[in-house]
Amino acid sequence: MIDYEKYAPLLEQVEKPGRYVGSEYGSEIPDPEKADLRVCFCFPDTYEIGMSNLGIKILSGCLNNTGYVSCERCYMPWPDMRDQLIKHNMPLYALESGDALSEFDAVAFTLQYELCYTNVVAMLGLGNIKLLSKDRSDSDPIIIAGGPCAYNPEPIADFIDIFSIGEGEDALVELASLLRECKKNGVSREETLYRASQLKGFYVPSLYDVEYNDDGTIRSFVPNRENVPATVQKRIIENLDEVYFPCKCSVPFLETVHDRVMLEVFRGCIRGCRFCQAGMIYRPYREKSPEVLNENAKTAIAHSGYSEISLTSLSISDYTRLRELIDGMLPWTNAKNVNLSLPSMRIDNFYEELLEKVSSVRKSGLTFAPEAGTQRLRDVINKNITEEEILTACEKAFDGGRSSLKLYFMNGLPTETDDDIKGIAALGQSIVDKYYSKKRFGGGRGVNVTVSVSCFVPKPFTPFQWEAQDSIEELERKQQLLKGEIKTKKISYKYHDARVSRIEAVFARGDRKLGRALLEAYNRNMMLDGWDEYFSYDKWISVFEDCGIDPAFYANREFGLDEILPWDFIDIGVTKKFMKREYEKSRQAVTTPDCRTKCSGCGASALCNGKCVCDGGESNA
Amino acid sequence: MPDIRVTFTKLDKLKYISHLDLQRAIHRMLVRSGLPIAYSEGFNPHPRLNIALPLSIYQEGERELFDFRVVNEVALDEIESRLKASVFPGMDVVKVELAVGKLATKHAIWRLETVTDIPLDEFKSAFESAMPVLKRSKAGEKTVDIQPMTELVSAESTENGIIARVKLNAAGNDYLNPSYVAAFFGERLKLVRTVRENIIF
Repeated sequence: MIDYEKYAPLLEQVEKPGRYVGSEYGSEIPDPEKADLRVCFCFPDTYEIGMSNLGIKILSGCLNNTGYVSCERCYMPWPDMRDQLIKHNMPLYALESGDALSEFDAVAFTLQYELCYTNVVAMLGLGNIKLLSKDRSDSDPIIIAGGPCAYNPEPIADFIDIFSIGEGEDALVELASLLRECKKNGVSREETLYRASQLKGFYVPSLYDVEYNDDGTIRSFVPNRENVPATVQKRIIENLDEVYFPCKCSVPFLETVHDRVMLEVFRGCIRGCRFCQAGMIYRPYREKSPEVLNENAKTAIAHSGYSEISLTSLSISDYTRLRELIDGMLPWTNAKNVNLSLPSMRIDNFYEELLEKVSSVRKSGLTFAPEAGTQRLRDVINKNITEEEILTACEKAFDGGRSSLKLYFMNGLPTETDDDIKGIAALGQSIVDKYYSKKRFGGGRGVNVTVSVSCFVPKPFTPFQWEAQDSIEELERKQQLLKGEIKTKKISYKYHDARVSRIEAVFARGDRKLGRALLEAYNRNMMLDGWDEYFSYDKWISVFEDCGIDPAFYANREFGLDEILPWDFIDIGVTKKFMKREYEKSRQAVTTPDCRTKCSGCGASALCNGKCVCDGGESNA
Repeated sequence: MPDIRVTFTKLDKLKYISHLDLQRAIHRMLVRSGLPIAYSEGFNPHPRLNIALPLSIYQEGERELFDFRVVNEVALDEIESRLKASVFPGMDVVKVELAVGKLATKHAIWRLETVTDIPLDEFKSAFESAMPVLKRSKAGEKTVDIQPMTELVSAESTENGIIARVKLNAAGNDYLNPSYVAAFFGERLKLVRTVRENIIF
């Protein structure tokens, strides 16, 4: 291991040096000097966010368990540290060895959010790695990326050598094995990338050519070398009980965003909300068994010393064996003063008594997501909950002694009218009225309902992928309209910056042409766009102007149903045919039942040989 | 069972960790140890833990102290071996004993490793007369003479500076941070390592 002391003069000048030193409990890795392959896993946002990411823990654990990989970590430095690195002419380094990113065989990024793309480019630059894939030579690291945003890899394709599409536990180890082989035999970079394209679930952008129509849409997207697959199918893990789970993670000193044991209960979602990308890309729905989860939880608590476990999955109350799991965990978690939290309850199947049980140690906040203010619009987005269900759930929560609730909504949803916006205020008012419909003995301050409204961003691989985003002016008008409609101080109203959502929309549905803009943004020192204090809409607009890019083409244009979409070459299991069907149903405000009630023939079951939650269910495919 | 007193180190990269972060790390270490630790009452129960004196970020400690409590009788050897198995990098358990009295600290011995061009004699004699330093507090800035709270134990020259041992006040309201000693010497002296060697009752 190298001498860390060379970084001491930098570390003494920054606000939170603990972000840049590693050395947390449980962070030991295989000796880099004895490893055949050195990988650095990068999270393109701050340490506190990155250390909260379960995906990195899983994947770096898989790599470090191979016996031949040594996988380290790196996070996006805060500007104070970036300035110190530049001032001292030192490269961005990995936390375990202190070596520059450029010294690794492979550098992997997880793409969790479109506004982190500038951080990816900045980390490459700070790590002394050539920014563009085409400029790298045999001695440079192979740059890999995966994660939810990799389902539309095109905007950042110029900077990445290999994308991993889908769940990475098996795939990444297969890639590591290939890279090790290629390194040992001195295989050229070009040939290594080609071989990676032959593995299942990997996309090598340099092996595909894109041509555009005069109007900027895609004319063709084809491989430029023989045997390179025209479509890349995502990888999944069929049996979650058998796949590696990181029970022994490093425990940060700094307080991170999710500073607790995270227990992944299932993957996928049975719901099918039409705006939700996670609900589509993680299909098919697969559960882990309570027995395995309980064992994982015990080991993770004993190892870490954490006093909280969070059950993390998309909609936790959909887990078929939730009661069994919780009944199995509570006896020991209560005895050990460990708090159990269920962060994503659905309104229609939320059980206050279950919540009472789990909050026997500590009482945490309660959040529901009606998403839209009227039944018509909730039907359009296929949220499948009724106003009555919302009110009943809130009443149960109030009866259980809670006096504060948070509700998530979206504005700018397809077909939305001013009546839908007013409906948000009306629903909030009904909830407040529900609280006062009975005599309650609360804290004396009465009820507090937080209404938090984000802006709709059309995302790839959703039935709304063709929809246009509202203009900023329209989104802001709707935000003000709602503000005027809220007549009570019992409702706290919060809304997102529409300008941030617009840039998010540009990159979400972007194509390769956006690589120019990312490079230009890097040259203008733009980064940390996910942070209000560093995001600048005006700078982005001027970057787009100077690069000849029209942001409205990506964000505010209704894409044609027959257009070639930038992400069409990726196969997530769920078919485009299904998406179109859902799109058309949305236009008639017709809902689709959840997968358990009735299979809608989305196509995802093909990824695990037809086995799915709908198992043998009737299909209308 | 009376309180258990643990002597521990905060060294190496732990100097980049704040007192609050260290406290949380010790909480987790106690939980990991599997000992029947006593918890506080209230909405947010956490292990009962009392750390003698906080160390600022960038400071290290060789013989730091904390007290905690177990709810059942456990042999000291057992406690020691369990704690040693649960430590984190930079923290070592030096000693485990039954606590005698409260953690009422009076003085601390500090080792100040400095880079300076101040001659050793000049450095030593500085401790013999008034040492005015500008001190900032909530009430504003004021000049304080730190000499009555400061005692030079030893000083020796190194290649590019001086290593000094000083005994500073460490009683509740009268706590003197060694950064003020460095501040007294101003620009000519740079503190490169600050280690609390011992805490005195």
